[in-house]
Amino acid sequence: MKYFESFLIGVKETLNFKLTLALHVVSPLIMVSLLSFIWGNIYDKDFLTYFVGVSLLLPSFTFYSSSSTKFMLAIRNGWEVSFAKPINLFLFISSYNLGRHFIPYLINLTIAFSYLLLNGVEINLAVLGFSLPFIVLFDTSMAYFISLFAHYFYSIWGVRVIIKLIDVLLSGLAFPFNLINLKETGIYYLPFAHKVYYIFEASIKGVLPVDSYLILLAYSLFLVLIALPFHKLGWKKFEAQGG
Amino acid sequence: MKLKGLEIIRKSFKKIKKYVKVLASFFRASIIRYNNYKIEYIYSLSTIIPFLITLFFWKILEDSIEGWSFNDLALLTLMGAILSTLIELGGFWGVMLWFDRNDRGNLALMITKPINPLIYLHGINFFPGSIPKLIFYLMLLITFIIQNNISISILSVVGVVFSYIVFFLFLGIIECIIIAFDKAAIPLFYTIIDIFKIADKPIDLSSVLGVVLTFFVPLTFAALIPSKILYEGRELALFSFIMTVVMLIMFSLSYRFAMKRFEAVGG
Repeated sequence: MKYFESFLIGVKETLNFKLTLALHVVSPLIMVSLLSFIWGNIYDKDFLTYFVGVSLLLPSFTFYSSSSTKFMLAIRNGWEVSFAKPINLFLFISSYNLGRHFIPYLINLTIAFSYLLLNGVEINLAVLGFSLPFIVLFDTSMAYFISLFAHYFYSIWGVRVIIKLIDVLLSGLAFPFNLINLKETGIYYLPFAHKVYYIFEASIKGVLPVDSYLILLAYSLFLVLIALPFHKLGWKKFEAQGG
Repeated sequence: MKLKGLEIIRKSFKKIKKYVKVLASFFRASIIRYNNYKIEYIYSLSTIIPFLITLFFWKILEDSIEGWSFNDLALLTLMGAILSTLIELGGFWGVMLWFDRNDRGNLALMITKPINPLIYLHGINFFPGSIPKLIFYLMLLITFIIQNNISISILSVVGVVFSYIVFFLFLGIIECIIIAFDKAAIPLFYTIIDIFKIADKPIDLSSVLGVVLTFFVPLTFAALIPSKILYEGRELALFSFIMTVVMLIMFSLSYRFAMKRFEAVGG
């Protein structure tokens, strides 16, 4: 319940800043149109369905970038140590960020869903809905991993930006993955395509992407296991030295 | 009459000298500041990874893209990466964050300074962390030019510089809009930066999209036109010079508008 409260705070905050909300909606739409035009010109094919699918159905739901910044601030300010213990700060921030991304996601989802439906592409909402918790889990783990650097360096913007840039390229947002053999290139074994491209494909086919779920789960576990000892060490250092 | 002309040129040079001196001192101060945060240099260098991933994708797709060889696509990506590094070095990100974090009162303080406020803002936001990356990209460009026997003339180098200036002036216009309309206009900058991600894609200049991205949102000046200038030269170099003059006039008008609007509203 307490985490649902922080989720609601995030939703309310998004609704307060209407221009930012508009930007969250308009910016991906501009990108989708431009990318579809460019790739359409190159290959003389329609790429609008592909880019609407991969850009609007899922990525606006990814939030590790903003979560990691907030985690970093929390670590630097020692909020977790001083925070009321019954609340887990990482879960609190994650649910707040989830709330902040929820409304733009709903709008983008509606736009994408309507467009795809009008063009005869049916999306299985059950598959899409079932996949979202796996994406949220991966994003939270990624934010937890990125924020570990805050214990040891003054700024972590670089880690966040580099991962984000790699994510955009390897999840199928910039290059049409339906033209590339992902297994042959090794992209299949990385998590990024599984939280966007493969889930979009599975939603069209109406089949649960079990492989993608397993890969996302494995990577989430891997990131948390790597980050956990470093976070613990970091907190020990923080408590020994003081804030 | 001739003497008057000479006097104007002498005064202009004096002014430019003053600004170069100011910028140099800002730059020195930035290097001293960032030497305390060496991790910033590593961060900036690591952004080479996405550049390499892009090249990897072009290698996979090269056979299926008609009219574009891998070399053309690689040069396009490289020219975009150089501009992106120059944007980082020139402190554009820092300026936008500055607008985001400070209110107009601070801007009023800044205007009272004896130097141009935009130059002052870029001066304090120089990011020397991107110098190693810029050196890497430039060395890569030189290697590319030598390996592909591309004949480089002064005109093509000047053309590339003017092409980049067009894009910088465009970003300058966005900054003026932000000064004029305050924080409400900041999302505009982030949208432009988002759109910048498509700058290294092979766009046909004669298509509708090519025309829009050349004359309205001059994104083709970020990578496509500079790479074409290196191969083909003259006409496009001349075109980027003409566009520089047009953008300079537009920038000057928007700067005046921004300052007037700012002073009218008050700090």
